Amino acid sequence: MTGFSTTIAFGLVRRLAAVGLDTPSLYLLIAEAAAIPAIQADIAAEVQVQLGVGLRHLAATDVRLDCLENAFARDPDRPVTLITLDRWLPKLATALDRNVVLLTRSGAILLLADPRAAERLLTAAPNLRNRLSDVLAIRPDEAFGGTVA
Amino acid sequence: MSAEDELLLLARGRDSQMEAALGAMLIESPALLGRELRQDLSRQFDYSRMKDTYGRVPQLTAVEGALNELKCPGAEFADGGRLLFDIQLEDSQRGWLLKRFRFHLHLPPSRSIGMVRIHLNPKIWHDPLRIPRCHLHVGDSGAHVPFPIMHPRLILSLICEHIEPDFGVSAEQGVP
Repeated sequence: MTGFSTTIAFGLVRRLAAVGLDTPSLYLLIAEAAAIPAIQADIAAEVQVQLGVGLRHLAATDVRLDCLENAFARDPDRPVTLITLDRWLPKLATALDRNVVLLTRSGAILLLADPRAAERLLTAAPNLRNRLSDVLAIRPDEAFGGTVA
Repeated sequence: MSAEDELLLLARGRDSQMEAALGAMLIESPALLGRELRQDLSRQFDYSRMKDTYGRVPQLTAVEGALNELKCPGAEFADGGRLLFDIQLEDSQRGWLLKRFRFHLHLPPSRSIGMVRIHLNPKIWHDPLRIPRCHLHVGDSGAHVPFPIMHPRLILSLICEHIEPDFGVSAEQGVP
């Protein structure tokens, strides 16, 4: 998968700050699988620093399909939700596609996936694809990553 | 006690207060401070005071032992000023402590003052009457003007919002 703009968590959260958290935002973020833990940490830190709120983090395997309404209920203290597609779950992709309106009511939603899962999601979820604010390649933040504190 | 000894005692007292303020100012982590400073610089861009740094500064590096350094090799103001800074932090049992910093502000050529420097020197022997550990230099002056211990974010804000727009501006330049 090529052709998507590349960003880091800093730039992504600047975008969220610019449009405001009351505006529904839905981003698909594509990262190499090995980089995903570092990117999760970067996003959580930037959401705290730039927006002054907490990040709600869900792994795809934690999302219960029979309780999507609860999973995507708006949390005023954590209005940004990061869903990591840690494995390909076709039923979850279908559920996200069917409930995309519910999804975008929750504030800012960030879907983080490796290139393979992202490609499958874009193919399997056309409604979701149409609602995406953007698809971005994301890489770890080199300024504050690595072994330093 | 001679007048010189009394002044030395007063200067040592002032430096002791600086040390106490430094010891009380724990930094959660160098990475968090770096992200906060980066955000502060970006906000200056949003206010049109600075050019975009594209989130590239400051950069965090491990220096040696328990030392980390946040370094900004250059951030440009919209009017031609330029800011460089580096901040060294040391890991301690209580948390991260400020060890040293240097903020160098180069003012635009139109100003009557070329630069302003704010330094926190590392803790080594010094003559407290001549060189307070935390001090300010105006222009090329060798005078070390005592400067209060402040959080680096406050210093950055002071530089961007008060010192840079104002220092060395002539009366004619200052009149809108």
